[in-house]
Amino acid sequence: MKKGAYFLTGEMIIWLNRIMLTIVVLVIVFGVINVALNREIKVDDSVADMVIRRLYYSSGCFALEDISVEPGVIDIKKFNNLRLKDCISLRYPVKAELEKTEKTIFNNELYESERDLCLVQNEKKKCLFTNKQYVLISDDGIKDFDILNVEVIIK
Amino acid sequence: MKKAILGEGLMNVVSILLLVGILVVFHILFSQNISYDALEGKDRIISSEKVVSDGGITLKNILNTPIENINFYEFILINIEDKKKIKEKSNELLKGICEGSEEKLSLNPKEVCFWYLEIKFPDKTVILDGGYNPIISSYGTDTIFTSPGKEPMVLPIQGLNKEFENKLSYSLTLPDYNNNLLEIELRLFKGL
Repeated sequence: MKKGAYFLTGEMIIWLNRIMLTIVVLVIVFGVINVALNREIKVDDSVADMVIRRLYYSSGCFALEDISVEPGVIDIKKFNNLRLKDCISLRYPVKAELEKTEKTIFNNELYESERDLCLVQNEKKKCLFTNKQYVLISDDGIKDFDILNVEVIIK
Repeated sequence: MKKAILGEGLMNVVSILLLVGILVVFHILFSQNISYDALEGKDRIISSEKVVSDGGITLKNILNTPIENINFYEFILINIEDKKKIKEKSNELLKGICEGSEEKLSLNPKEVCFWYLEIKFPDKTVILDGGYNPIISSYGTDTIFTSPGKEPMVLPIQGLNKEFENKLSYSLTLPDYNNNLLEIELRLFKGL
């Protein structure tokens, strides 16, 4: 065997190694960057929190509007299904209940089905969020306290 | 020649180790899902500081709750020497959102809640609590220590690190009848 032929084969093997390693590194690096770019940040909790707060902060929902808006004070006349439908998108099924007044409203007629569907889903994907808030109820200017229980489903 | 090949091999090993290191860093930084629930100080961001800055809905509503033609804040000022009366009324109001009882503690520790209302007068500080204030109370294998005005402590006998999930603190500064400014703080410790 000629000496030159041996060196040429050895060199080729080393280059093959280098090329393969480079390809592997490139594939992994692009893969990792792709995963990083497409990752999802879970904001369901914050969305649910905002939806719930909107109910008693916004006069578009239940907050009493006299001379100014009174966050946390619920105008009992506004506390109905139609109003809830208008103020919270149907995308987020909501159930709101006033404990003391014993009044429950929904923004979606199929809320119970949506809730059941949510509960049978994988535990890791939390979709039902609840909140309990001390509120004041205004009924023609007469105020009393109540507890507002809210459930919201974030799909 | 052999030395050159050995050097090349070492370089490959170093490259692979470097790559593994980079991947580990990427994994830690990016591949984990960030849960809003797990954000440090979340309760302070959304429930305490923000609420405090706009008055604190819960505390504002509690103090504004009408009682016998006055509101609860005035009720406190009038009955400041009769702590029992204020406690009874506070328990009645807070029952729906924060309740601590021995029964609840043994049946469902997640639902147990301790509340403390602190009123700072220019010359004294009055601390009220929910009435259920066990010095030492055991449930399962853990022990809870509570003392007025302080965060309840859970002593994990089996080494499990538990703490109260929701620590909410609301505060307001309001004038009394003599125009002294009183600092009122409501602290809720809910769930284990």
